[in-house]
Amino acid sequence: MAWLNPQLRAVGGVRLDTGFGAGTRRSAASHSNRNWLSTSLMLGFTMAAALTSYMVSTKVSGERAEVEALQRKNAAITSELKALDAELRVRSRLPQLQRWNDEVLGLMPISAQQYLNVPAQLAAFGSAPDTRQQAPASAGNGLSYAIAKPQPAQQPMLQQTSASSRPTATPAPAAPKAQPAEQAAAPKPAAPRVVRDSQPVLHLASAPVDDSLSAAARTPTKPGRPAGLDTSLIAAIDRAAAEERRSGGDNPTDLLRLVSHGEPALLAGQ
Amino acid sequence: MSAAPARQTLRIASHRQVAMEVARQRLALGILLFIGLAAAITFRLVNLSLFDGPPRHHGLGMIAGQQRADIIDRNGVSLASSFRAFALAARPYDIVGNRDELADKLAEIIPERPHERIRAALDGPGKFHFVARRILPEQAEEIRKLGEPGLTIERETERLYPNVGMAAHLIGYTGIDGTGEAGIERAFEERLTDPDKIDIPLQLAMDARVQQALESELANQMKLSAASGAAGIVMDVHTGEVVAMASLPAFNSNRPTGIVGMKSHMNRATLGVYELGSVLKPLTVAMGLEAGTITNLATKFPTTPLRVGRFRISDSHPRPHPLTIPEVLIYSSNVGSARIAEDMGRETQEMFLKKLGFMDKAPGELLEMGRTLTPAPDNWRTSSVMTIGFGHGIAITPLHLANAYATLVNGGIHRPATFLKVPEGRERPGERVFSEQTSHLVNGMLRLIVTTGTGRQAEAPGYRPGGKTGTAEKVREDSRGYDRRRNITTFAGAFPMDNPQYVLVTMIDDPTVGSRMAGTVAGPVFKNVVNRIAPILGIAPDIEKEPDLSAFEGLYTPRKRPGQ
Repeated sequence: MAWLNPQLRAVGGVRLDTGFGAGTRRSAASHSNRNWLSTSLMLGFTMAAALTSYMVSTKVSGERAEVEALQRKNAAITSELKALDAELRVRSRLPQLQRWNDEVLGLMPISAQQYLNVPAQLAAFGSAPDTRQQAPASAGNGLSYAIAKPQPAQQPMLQQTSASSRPTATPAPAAPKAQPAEQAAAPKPAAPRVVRDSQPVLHLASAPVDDSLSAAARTPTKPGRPAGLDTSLIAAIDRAAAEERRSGGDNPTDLLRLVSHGEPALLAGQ
Repeated sequence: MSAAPARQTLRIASHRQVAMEVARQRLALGILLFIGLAAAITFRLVNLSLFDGPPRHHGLGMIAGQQRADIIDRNGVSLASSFRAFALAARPYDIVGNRDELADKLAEIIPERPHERIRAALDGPGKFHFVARRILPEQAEEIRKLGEPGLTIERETERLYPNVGMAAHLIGYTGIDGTGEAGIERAFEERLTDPDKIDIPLQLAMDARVQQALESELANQMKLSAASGAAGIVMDVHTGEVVAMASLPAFNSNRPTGIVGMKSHMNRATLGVYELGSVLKPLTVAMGLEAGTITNLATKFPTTPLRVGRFRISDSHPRPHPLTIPEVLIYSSNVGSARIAEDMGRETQEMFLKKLGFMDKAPGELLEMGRTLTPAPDNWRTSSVMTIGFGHGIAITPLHLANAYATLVNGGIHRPATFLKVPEGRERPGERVFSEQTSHLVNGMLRLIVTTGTGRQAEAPGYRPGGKTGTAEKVREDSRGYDRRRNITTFAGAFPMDNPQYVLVTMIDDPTVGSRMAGTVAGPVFKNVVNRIAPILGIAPDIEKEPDLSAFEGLYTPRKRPGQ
């Protein structure tokens, strides 16, 4: 028991002393001053530390909440982007492009005669090529070249696009009569067909853009001759787009309906 | 008593000191406990910071709707993607409003759902009923505004196929529960639902543009001939990738209604087995050349009909003179092919058929693969050997045929077909079946068939295609024997023949209107498809280039080209 107060002495008998001795009674007054100062200092420091920690903590949680909000917003925008992207992909799907080509544009694959190995072969393009490539069967309609004769001014766009999409026809306007043999050999209509104003332009009311139920109900008829792009068709497309924006749900061009009512050609399941 | 001896001081603990002792012991214990707690927390902190990985973003993925990996084509065009779709569910016990009024309002918001079904879902026994399985976001918003606690908007995963019906059999479709039920969706179910790979799209070997060209030409010819079905395959000969696979009639993958047994749901390119007929003749010639039973291309075969057992083998358009080997193919002589096969013998033929994969089910990763029909091992007599020589007596799928032709034209190496994209530059291992020389010779003969033989309507100028026609009568369903009125017309070939890159097989099943011969039905399809896909696949046409046909000079009669 050496840690007992060394001032305790037991002489003869046992004398107990429970106090801490007289040392603690010295300078009681200064001691209490020092105590109060140290206590208040300690209190001050503790409070400062606590407040600082609390502020840091609230700031951190605030930042975290902001980050989470941003992440949610990010996810919402991502899914919206995905939906818009899907809508674009559905509207520009390949079977639809095929139908537009068959019915309106009439573009054909590039033919072997249009590839030249040597630039000198360009000189041969002054005369008409000797074989014509047959239109792909998917045009399916007896399309022969719409030879772009110089058109009157009201259809400048038609002439330009037909010239650009059927490049092998451009040497021909000078000599449309030089092809009787090939045209006669072609399995479908023989005479070169000149696109005139009276040609029926494909109106948008029955155009391929409308993919709704009526398209599926229509029996697949023989596709009409490609009309090419012209100002009235573009105006019709603009009108239909404005109509769709205005009517919203009435016009069944929603994505879900677009994909649920499949291609008319496929539904011929016999 | 003054000199006191050193006495032991006796210290006896008082109550206070005992209490203090106990207190100190308790304090020590408390300190130890506290240190232990702090140590545990520190240990866990260290553990978390050093050893646990970054947090998984599962929550975000689910919000964004990616529960199934996307499928894309070889150029990155999206073929299938996942979305969160809205579904309307009714919990009958929680409905507080008037059910009739509610049904009326719902019928107004969702016009495509019949009123009775809506009412039945609101009433029905049970705690949960779907009112409408797929509704638009605007409709969901309107329903939410009704404020009925018994109506909940569920989110389900929806699979969107943007190209609607294209490549329907190849990509397949998913059922209402989201699992794949056909095609790639079914074959790669684990890969598509693997959480680690959900963000990586599955890339197919298919090229969407080639697929569309093939499908549209086949559909057009099918309509013109009023045929009951069509199939087409485009394969890359050097890698074995299936660049396009079409089977018509098809269906809309977004809404694959109907039972699976319907005609539109059978994959005619990989599942249906057919006796394809004369398209196998070039393979017979190649087998003869490789086995050494054909030593000289000038060997002549008479065209007089053969009698084997109870079979009579004759040509449909017999020529009046004996035919050389190239002429056997140019004029598609059954008798000549039967004789070549007979010389070869059963073992050689069986060995080659096995190496070409004709004794197994169709190659590739799809699960809808047809098993070939071959003669039973104990019934494989000379008659079977001879009929297999010209393509009857064995039933294979168009995919088998395409794979065999790829083996034939690429120099003789057999690589099983694959539907997944092979990374650029990676060589797929293969097994050698024919030698380079055999392949080269047969390529020349295939080119001759198109320039001077039965395949003239398949000539695509500038692209140097080569191939073989095949017109086979369909087997009668009820009795044995063939149905003379129903044909399967096929054209199998490759282009460009001086250095073949792609194999194209087109098959029209049972053309009824117009000609029923393969040269007139399937040949033009071949030509049109080649014209459309060759520029896409990077093959430039050249009117002047031609494969080397010097080995066949004098062995056939060239036809005059129109205009020469």
